[in-house]
Amino acid sequence: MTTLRAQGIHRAFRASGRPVRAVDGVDLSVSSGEIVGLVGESGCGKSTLARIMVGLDRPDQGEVWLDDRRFVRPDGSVERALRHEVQLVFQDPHASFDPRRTVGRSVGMPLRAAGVGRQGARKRVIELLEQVGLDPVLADRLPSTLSGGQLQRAAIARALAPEPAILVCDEPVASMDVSVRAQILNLLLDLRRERGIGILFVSHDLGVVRRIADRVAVMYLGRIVETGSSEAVWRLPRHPYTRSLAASIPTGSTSWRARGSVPRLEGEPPSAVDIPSGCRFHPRCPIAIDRCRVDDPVLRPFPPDVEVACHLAEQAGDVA
Amino acid sequence: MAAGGSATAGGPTTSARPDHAALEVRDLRVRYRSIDDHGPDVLAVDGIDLTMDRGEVLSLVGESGSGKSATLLALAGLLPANASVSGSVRLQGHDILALPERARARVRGRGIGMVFQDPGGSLTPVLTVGSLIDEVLLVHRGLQGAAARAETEALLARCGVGDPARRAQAYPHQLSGGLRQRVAIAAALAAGPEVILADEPTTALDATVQAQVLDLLVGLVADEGVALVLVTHDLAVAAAVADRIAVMYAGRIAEERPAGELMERPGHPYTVALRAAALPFRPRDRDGEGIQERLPELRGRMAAAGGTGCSFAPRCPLATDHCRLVAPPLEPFEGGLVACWRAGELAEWPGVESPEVEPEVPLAAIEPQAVGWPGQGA
Repeated sequence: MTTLRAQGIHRAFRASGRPVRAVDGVDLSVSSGEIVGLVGESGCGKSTLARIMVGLDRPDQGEVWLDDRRFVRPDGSVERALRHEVQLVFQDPHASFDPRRTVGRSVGMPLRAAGVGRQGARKRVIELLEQVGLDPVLADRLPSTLSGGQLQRAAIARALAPEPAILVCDEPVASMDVSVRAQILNLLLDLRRERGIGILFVSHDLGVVRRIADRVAVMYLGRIVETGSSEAVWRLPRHPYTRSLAASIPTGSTSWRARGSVPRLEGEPPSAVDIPSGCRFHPRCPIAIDRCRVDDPVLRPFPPDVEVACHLAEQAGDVA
Repeated sequence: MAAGGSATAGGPTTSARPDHAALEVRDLRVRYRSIDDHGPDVLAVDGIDLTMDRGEVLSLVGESGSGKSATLLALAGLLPANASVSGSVRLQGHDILALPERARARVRGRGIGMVFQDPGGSLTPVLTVGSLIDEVLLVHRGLQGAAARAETEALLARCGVGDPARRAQAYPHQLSGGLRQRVAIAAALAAGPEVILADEPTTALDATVQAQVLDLLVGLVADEGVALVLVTHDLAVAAAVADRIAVMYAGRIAEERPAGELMERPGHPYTVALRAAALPFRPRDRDGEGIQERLPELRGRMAAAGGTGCSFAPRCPLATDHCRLVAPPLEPFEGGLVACWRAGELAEWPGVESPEVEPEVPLAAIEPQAVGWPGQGA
């Protein structure tokens, strides 16, 4: 049982000379055998957080721990000996494979880098490809000859090569056909069940997160505003932002169509250049009160296992 | 309804009955010639019929290779040079495929508005969005100067672009994705079309913005009385906005029925699979440790159009030898049309009446009353 834990992460970038607080004080953990969904709109900081948690980007403040070992230090340096424990799967596999290298060589790179001999690496690559449901003959093909779904399986095989405890998947099924998407999601579910891998699943697609995540963390403008078990959060979303997200997923019901029947979130995801005062969601919030404009809410616990950063989170119970 | 019959629909000008449909497509076929002249031709659309009334939303749903986008591009006249189209497309009483090229372009330009997935790619980067719409108004409605600009601002406002006078001065790259899509919709409306063709218009947008844009499109159909053809891979999006859904597979229509009925009781096994894959609910079954079972999955790949037998048969759990040999015709089925030899038996198939998915969150939780914001309304 391994837990990857990010603590007090802050990360700012500069855009046209102005600071963009992409991640603005976040704690998040993923343990072996669980799938944690990290959801939010474009620009909410979810991908930056994911990159920090695999050691690909450095935080300005905060640390990342693997159990009791420090993986990313406050100065941003990464403990190399722990790197193999956390692996990343990107959105676009065609961009994450070297087009001139065979799939097998790319999948075997982490092994060769770790000092495994050519023969041994080859044997292991075949095993890995079989594990993700690919025909081993694909090892000798170039990435351009594989379909998107096949290549994403290969990307997962490559991420599994160093035998990580935790996989971080950044939008792994975006832009895939629904039947291919189901196959990739099932592969992740199988890896979790059969090998006890922990998965941080980053996505803007609440429908997909709702289908596979055990726990969910909803991110808005650099902060986590609601987190808890999937069942609890979707049964009673307490943060007005989570409720707006839930209401915006088409459910297959035709009554969604009735105009004006479901409250829509007004406006667009705002920019992290100008983070509003008080609660950062208040300019779009349909229930904001004066306090929300000045007082920045912190995450508060709601039994059994939910945390919500909203002054009015108690009110959600009234309408359920 | 005679799909799959004889090709060469030369000139169906003998319209005995009055033709009030906004758009009427008969036996549409799209074939791509291999670019290097050596490979085989690819049949992308294999004889489909569609009829649209004003004020109606029809959604074409399918995966890559189903022919849904090729159908749309054929209607819009935007296919590449190596594509050939046959059949008839009646718009405003003209069979536009039979018209000479310039007349065809004029009828299309005025009668059809087009919205693409990527609004960044469909708006000219060097024109302000206002002058872009002004130009459409000049070409198709003869409006100029102040009159054109006033109409442009009204169109932008109608499409939910706040502060339209200022936004009209902006270049596309200065606007967010959601605003660009609103501008693209305003531009599509500018010529006063009868039909709007939208190809995955919300796929690249965030969920909250997707909901806003879908609301806008549905509102335009209701208020302006245009017909909307919405192409999407997401059956849940189709169900949310469409009156009718046409599910496409390998270049043909597999099922076309009113949205509610199709979602509730699909008539084609492919629709069943798409529905299972599209709905945001978790599988009901979990093993002893509360660990979730796998999602319903459709294995294999879409067959090429134009083969023998039912093109879905290789992936279909219900396929028989008959299915593999003889392609099923599109026949009347519960309020619409279904192309499946076993459509009548589908009701007893376990996947249909008790789908493998079930709302984990009661639907009511996101229905209006339950979402009613505390402190509002009551």
